[in-house]
Amino acid sequence: MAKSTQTTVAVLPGDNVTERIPLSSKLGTGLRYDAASQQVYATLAGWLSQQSKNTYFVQVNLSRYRPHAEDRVVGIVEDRMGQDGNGGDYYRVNIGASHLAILSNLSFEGATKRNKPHLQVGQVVYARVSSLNEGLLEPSLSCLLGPHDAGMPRKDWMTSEGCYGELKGGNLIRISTGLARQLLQPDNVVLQELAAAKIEFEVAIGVNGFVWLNSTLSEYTIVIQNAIRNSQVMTDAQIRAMVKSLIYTAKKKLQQDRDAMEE
Amino acid sequence: MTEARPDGRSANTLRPLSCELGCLHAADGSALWKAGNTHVMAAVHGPIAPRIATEEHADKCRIQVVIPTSSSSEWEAFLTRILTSCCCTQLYPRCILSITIHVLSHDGSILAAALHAAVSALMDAGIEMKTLPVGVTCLLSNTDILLDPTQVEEDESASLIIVLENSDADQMLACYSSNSLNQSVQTILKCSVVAARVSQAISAFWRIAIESKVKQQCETIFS
Repeated sequence: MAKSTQTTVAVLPGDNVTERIPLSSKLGTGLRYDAASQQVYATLAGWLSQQSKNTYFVQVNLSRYRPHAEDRVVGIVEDRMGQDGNGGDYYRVNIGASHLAILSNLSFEGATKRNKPHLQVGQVVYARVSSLNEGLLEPSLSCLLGPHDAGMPRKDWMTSEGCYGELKGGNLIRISTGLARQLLQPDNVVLQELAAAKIEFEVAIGVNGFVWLNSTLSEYTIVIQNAIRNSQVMTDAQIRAMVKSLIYTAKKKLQQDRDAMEE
Repeated sequence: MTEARPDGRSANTLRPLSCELGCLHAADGSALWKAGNTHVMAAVHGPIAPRIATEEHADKCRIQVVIPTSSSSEWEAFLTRILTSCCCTQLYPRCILSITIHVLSHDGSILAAALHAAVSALMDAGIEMKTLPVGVTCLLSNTDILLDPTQVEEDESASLIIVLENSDADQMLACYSSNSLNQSVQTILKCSVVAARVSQAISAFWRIAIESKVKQQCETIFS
């Protein structure tokens, strides 16, 4: 997502945007080409922006996730569906989309019939959307490395060092998909400020708006949750000030608790 | 000669409009539409998997409009038909879109306000739409056509709602008469010409409402 958006205009569904988009560009979400009149219309209410040199789309911030292939998502295991013919089990996973996604416990690195993970209901997993199944079935998830994971080391599911897999412990929060994409930017302000505050935490952000947090102290987990939620409606400068004040309050409280215990 | 209306408006004036998006956090999209003292809230849940599998279509989305306190299901069918023709339903196969409409305050022209609230909620939920339908309520009095009648005016005479596509007089999507008498074609066409002029104002208002929300997001999320 380009940081500078040249075509900066809000569009409504039904708007004719043919003039704003050069010929031979690719149309992303929210834009529709009408072959009969050879005009481009917007179909979403949002910000018309440019993704790359040639691709235009309408940027919206939604709470419900629309899956695309090779998206990396965080999901919650809801239900065990049944067995497939190869000795694996299928699970239904909630990824915040219109349907529950399907995950097989053989789609983990190094998983075989005799050596496969047993997923519990309520467990959090970090997976990628391997296929949309053309809309005829629910989307499929997989914890195997995919075409976009070329540089990642291939670790067995039994070690916890792989790219995808179960996320143990921690907390899960739900945010909007726009905020999730913002958090995934390399220069995201909230995460930078939290890292600079020298608190230990790990975070898994799914583009579906599910964010898994884990930290050594529960006070820090709450601070991180609040910081992420607040950053949705704040500008960069406000975010820095907000994070600093949250961290300060948490550290002060922890110091007070430590002093009280020593007495 | 135009008589003065009870609230002092002229025949072609609409009541002040107000639209608040995203007021219900539990819903995927929501909107509170106010036209004068008529307040209507719409909530959109979807696209989601239907509870009953036979309700789903393999290639498109099914739209359900529910008005919990309405006396007849005609309004629900009317809105369902309009919204189905305006949304890109083929983008959400095997899903249903459930739209619930709550009328918080009744003061005439409720069906038009319900339509606008539903469309605003669909925009808030990010459902792709081909066009924006604009509804204008016309009251047929003896002398001329009064727009956006209040409850007091509607109690005296029948009203007709015209729904246009993108404020274009030539593209009428639907019309609905509040009493069961059918209106003549001339009346409908006369009303639609008047409605087209006024629907530009409603479309312009929508643009302002959405732009202010999107601009705020631009500074915070999309930067």
